[in-house]
Amino acid sequence: MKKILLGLSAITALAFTACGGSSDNGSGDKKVEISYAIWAMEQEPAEKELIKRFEEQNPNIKVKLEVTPWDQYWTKLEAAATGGVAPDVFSMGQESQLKYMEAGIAQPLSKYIEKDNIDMNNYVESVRSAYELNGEMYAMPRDIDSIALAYNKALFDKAGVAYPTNDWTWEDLERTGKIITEKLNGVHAVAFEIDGQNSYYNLIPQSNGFVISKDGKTSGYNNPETVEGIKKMSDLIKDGLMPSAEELSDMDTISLFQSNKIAMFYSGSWNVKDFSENKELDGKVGFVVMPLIKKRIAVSNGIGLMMASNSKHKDAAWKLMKFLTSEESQKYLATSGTVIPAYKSVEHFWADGFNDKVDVSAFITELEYSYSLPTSRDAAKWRDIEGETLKQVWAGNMSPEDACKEIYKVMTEALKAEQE
Amino acid sequence: MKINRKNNFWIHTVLIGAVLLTVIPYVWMFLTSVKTQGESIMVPPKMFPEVWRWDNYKILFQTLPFDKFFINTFVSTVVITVFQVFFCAMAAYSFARLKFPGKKVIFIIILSIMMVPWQIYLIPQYMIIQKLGLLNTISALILPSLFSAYGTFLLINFFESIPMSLEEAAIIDGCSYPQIFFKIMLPLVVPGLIALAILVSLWSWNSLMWPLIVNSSTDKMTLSAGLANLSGRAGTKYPLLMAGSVLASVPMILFFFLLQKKFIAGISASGTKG
Amino acid sequence: MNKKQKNEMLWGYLMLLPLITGILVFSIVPFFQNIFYSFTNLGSFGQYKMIGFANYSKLFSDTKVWIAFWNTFKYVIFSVPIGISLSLIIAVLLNSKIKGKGLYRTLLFLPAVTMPSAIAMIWKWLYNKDFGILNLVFGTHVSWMGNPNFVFWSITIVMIWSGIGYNMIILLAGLQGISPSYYEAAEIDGAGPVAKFFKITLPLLSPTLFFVSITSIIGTLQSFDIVMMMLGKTSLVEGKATTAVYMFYKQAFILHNKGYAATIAIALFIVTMIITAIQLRLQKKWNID
Repeated sequence: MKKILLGLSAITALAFTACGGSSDNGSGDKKVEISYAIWAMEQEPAEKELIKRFEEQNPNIKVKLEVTPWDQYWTKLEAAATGGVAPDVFSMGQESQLKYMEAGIAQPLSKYIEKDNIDMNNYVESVRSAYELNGEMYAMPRDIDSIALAYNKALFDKAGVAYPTNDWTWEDLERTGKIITEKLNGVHAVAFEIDGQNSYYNLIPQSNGFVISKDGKTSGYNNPETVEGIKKMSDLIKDGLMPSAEELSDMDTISLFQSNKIAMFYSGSWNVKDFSENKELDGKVGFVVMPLIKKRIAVSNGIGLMMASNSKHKDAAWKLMKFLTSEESQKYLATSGTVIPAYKSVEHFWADGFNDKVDVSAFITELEYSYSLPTSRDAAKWRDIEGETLKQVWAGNMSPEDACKEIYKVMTEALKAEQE
Repeated sequence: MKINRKNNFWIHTVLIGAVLLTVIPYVWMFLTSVKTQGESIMVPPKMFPEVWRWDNYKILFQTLPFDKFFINTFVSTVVITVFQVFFCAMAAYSFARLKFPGKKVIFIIILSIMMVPWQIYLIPQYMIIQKLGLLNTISALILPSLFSAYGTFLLINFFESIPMSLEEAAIIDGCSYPQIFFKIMLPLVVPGLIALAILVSLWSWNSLMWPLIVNSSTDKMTLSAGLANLSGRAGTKYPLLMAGSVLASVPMILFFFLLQKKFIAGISASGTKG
Repeated sequence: MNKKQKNEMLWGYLMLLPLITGILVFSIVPFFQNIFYSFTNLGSFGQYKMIGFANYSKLFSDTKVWIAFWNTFKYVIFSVPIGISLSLIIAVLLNSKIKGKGLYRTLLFLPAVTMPSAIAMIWKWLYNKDFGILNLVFGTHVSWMGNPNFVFWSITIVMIWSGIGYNMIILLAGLQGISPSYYEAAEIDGAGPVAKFFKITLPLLSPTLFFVSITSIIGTLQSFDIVMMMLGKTSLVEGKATTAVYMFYKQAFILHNKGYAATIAIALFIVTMIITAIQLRLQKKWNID
């Protein structure tokens, strides 16, 4: 008994001394340590490489990379920001950026940008504008994503229909879809993920509607064209071209696609790496731009790098941000197949990297007419109702017209509350 | 309980049935750990991999600092278990056997703590750890978990079922309360202590949310939290995740197997009921 | 108070001290903070304004939350009695003089160390409309997780399944305290295994059983992990199966209405208190009989 207690006190002592681990070096050493937060572990190797290059060029700066899974990233970031200890450089997405900008958590960057003569036109417009507020820049654009139509070549061959092309219209999709669904037993022509970014956030503007006005004050759901956009998706379900809500609850769209149960779906560019590494899909997947409804437009969610407004090492943080969004670093992100960089001139390297396996140029084409994810300061509040209400439409329990009316009401209230 | 042949047969049948139900997911977890990513998510599901990819275990160690996860989890679990069992035992004895004013009120307050969703403690505890300057340390993993209402109640239950006569004899003999606690009461509630030790270490071993919120470097993560990094927005790396889970479960299984031996039918250490 | 009572009181407090200090700092203060925040509109970054009882009146008319609470009740009513009965039967069997006890116990313990995502994966596969074993065995073609009428029951089964191991451990510990002399005496009187179970095991195990039922009810009232795991992010029939704590989580961490979330937590607390108080009263009556 005594021995056990002794051993355990030793471990306890060890545990508590281990806590003092990351303290500063001795005085006189001008080394500065900054923290950089990301959520995507699959990008860690690329980030580590870039950090290595940065530290070689800046020997007095040490970068601590912090990876937190997506689900917990936001809780942690908010807690840290509330406690005044947000990471020096942190990744931001377009669902929440306004919140951080308006609350003063993100450091305004215009003076840094001007001093170092950075040309912001080098970056894709939709990412840039997402992080701009009242003429001030709050983040350096880092990467961007895009949506394209993914199709299963094997299923198309089996049904004996021609592959989709970049000139396809929505009618082409419906027509071919009908043939596939009829000819192939147990296969649906197309499916969408329930998430807005890969579905209705594209269909709505493509039908000439809109989700939220550019000034972020008005909802677009009372617009008949918006309803048209929603109907495009709900009609597919009604006509049997898309799996029912029940089936989608049973198995998600990506699994359905990878199991050859659906022939097409709107895929995010983030799926490409996985698809290319999946042996069962080898050579079977193709990508074209989304079929034309009324206008060519695609939604994008671009990541920006923000600086904590109460960072103790702003100059070092800026150096890192500048480095990570420089043309060379951006090119590395592209050639390593990690993400599509926001730096326009090197975007195509991302697609080039996959060329021998699969043609993904469609994603790059879509970037030419991309717009930022619809959002507002407290977007989470109306986005939740939007998603829930539309789920009723997909389940066939509510008409698109009624749903849009409901969403319009809730959104207008929420947006009004933001103005106060 | 005397066992005759017929009873024996039925007991085994029921148990084997129960075991099959409980073991299947674990077996699935193991089989997935040696498949390819594509095989692991295929529908209709593929039971066995084409090729048994033991490589996944090597890749796991290359992708994540699994050894650090293990050490962090081991250290924090041992410390938490030892201290929690000890603190809860003391408190439980106090509630079960000692008289002092305000006992009922304190009891109700401790009971109340258990009746709210644990998530309400997440941010306040984060703030406390931050103010103590202990963010991103092993101490952060340990500190809030040293104290448990549940553990206290479990042990109160066990203490209360010990007959008073033993203590009364000890008090007459002139023993002090600490002596009674250590020499008489603790040995008699060993099954309860073991049960609590198993539950606490299991909980601590698997804890995911708290380590992710309070620590930021990957090398200060615990097993579950570190493995959570394999699930992202772009899908989950199932084979690696399952490989990590299999490895993570082995120590707990061994620990349980060793401890459960103490649950021997009908024998207690010293002194019996009734 | 005489010296003896003073001594007892002193030790009473002293032995309680470490636990109370820790709980005070880490749990009691946040608990009261939560009560405070329920009267505010706490949102992101710690900013809030006092709004009186506005959250509470919102709660009264919030159908979604009421449905979630109702679902939670249903989970308690169905999964707790069944779960405890099964754990009890298994614990008793594992306490008998059969061979291979250790192996059985360890194998039955496995769900507790199986990764939650593995559990979700396998059950989703079992429940799958086209390839699930359940449909194969029963010859049906039902979507157990997608059909709004079935999803609740499907999740209840997973809840029961994953909880058996924990209660089994506690009941096993409780069974150790029953002296074999009782059983021997009963056998001399000619009692069979069933009679022994009902006349000896159950009554002597009742304190532990009460403990297990109280904590299981409290635990099930707070169901969150399993339900979320099974429903995932894409389920279209959540409404039939979500729980009170999920409502809390959504308001607090997704919608950033932390003040309203605090109110939901308080509502759950009151409900739990009432149920527990009733149970404790029943336990007292049982003990007196």
